[in-house]
Amino acid sequence: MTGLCGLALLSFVRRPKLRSFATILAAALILWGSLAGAGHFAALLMQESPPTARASLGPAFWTLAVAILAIADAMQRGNFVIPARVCIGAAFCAGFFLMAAAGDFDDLSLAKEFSNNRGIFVTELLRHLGLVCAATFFALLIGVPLTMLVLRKTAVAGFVFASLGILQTIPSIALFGVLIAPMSKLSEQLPFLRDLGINGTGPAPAIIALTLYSLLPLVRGFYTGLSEVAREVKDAATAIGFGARQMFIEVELPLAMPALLSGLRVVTIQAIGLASVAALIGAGGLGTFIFQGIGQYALDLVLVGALPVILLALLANFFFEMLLGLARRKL
Amino acid sequence: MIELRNVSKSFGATPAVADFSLKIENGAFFVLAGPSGCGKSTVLRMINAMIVPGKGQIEVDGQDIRAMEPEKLRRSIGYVIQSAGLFPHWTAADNVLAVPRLLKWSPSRCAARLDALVALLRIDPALLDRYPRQLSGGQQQRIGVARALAADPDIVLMDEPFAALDPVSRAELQDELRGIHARSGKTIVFVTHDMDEALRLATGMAVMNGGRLIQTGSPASILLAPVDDFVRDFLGGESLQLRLLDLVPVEKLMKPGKTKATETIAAGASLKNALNLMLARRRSFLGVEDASGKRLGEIHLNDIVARRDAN
Repeated sequence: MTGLCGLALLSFVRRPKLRSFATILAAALILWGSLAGAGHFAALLMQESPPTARASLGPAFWTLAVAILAIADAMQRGNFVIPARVCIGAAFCAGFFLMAAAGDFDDLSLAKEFSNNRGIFVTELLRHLGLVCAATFFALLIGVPLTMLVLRKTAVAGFVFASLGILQTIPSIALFGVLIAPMSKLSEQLPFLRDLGINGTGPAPAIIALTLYSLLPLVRGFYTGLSEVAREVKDAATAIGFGARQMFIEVELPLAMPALLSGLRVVTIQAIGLASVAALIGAGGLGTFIFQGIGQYALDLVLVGALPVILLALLANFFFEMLLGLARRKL
Repeated sequence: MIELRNVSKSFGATPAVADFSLKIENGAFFVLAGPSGCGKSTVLRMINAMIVPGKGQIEVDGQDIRAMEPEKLRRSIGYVIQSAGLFPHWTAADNVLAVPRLLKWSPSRCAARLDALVALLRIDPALLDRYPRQLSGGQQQRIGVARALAADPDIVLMDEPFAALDPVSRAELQDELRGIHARSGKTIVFVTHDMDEALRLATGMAVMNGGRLIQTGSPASILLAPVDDFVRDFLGGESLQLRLLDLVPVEKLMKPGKTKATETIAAGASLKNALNLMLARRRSFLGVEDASGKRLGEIHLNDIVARRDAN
């Protein structure tokens, strides 16, 4: 409560650095208060209950989310240098893991669901990351040449963007479903594909679908970035004797880098979210917990899948923020 | 020497340059002048193969440029554009050294060349580590000119390089450029639509209109005998006579001897400056001094008027 009031009062502080700093402190208060409180009350409740009982988190606990957002926002606004951001982030994580290790949360149902699934959690997390990385990799593999094509031949640009746009509008569950039939046909016809583990269900169609979704934001971001490199700069580069390759490597690429990274950021975060749906076609990943949880009406199991997805997305965002900061420093 | 023979170029259906022939001698400060869209920039960009002519032939130092590798040709010709076109992600020093590095000069040679250019263009060394966005327009253009001169090319092409600058920076850079030209003997081809700039800088000039060459010659010969109404209007119509005075230094009409004149003017100033000063101070004659302030003689209003009559 104190933290929330503090947060509200802080909007009156004028100096931005100070305001950001104080915001982080207030948010930290809320964060630790809620976490410790939740663990404490759960322990109290569970003292008198049978072992199968569960203590879930109430809606009020989710002011926590506000606190985390406030911290991220404050770091953004305060224009904190990268090392400072890393330190603040690391401090929060360290605190959380210390509390978890000390057993503060052991009586919360979320923690119970987590420890029940501890064995497969890591597997599914890695599988999730694998899906995202593979999709991003293939999206780059196809997207970069496609961008080059679109930049060279403006005539095909409309066609390419229209096709990718249509792909993008197909709902994800539908696309995963639609891929099952042709993929299983394909693996029936070509045994070597089956030997590679490529089937109508599983990771292969999931990666294909995620790649297809990634193409539009990737190609559009890359195209915009490269085509917006100032004409007179390219003109001057040509005029003083840069060849096409030198121009690309030394002028276009560094100048378009922020836009390229932004494109990649959108693609990665989108893939982290969409990969959850891939669990539906047996590709595994954190979505497994979400759909299991929904099936069993075990909301805390849903959270075991959903919270790491959110954290992954935040982490990815932070990582790209950092790279963007480096790329922009010179521009 | 740069020679263009019967060069034509169309963009789509619109002809940009038509049957254009021109010879630019070594060491000339050659100005291509004309209204916007007259094809002067196209001519300039054809000289370093940025634009390939549809018809005709272009030779640089007796060699057909079609036989040369475009990148090699361009590295041997300096180039400056209006907005400087500096690389925003490189420091001023890196920008200046762009061509030497393309030519794979050794770091020590690059460093020595940078020092020479800093001295030549009177660049504040503190600016060298800055990025273009941290420089003023005039400073950027100074770096742009230094970049064009970096690999010591015999020919420098300049496409309205000072058009976007404030009058003070523009005049400063014009003087600087005129000095560099005089000392180095480089061939400069300079595109502008600003008649005052053309007259101040040119040793030879060509007036273009609608993709055609209308008149070529020394600035004075064009001012004295414009071939048609277009050239006369372009040169400034009614103020044409005043422009002509801009071309002649005071010392040409100075009378030696002692003088009691209280107002003085520098010997290198133009007759137009002298006339201006006479009108402003209500005098019919001025004392003439050299750069050190030593009295050389005097100049009379009558002589300026009579000179015009003699023409």
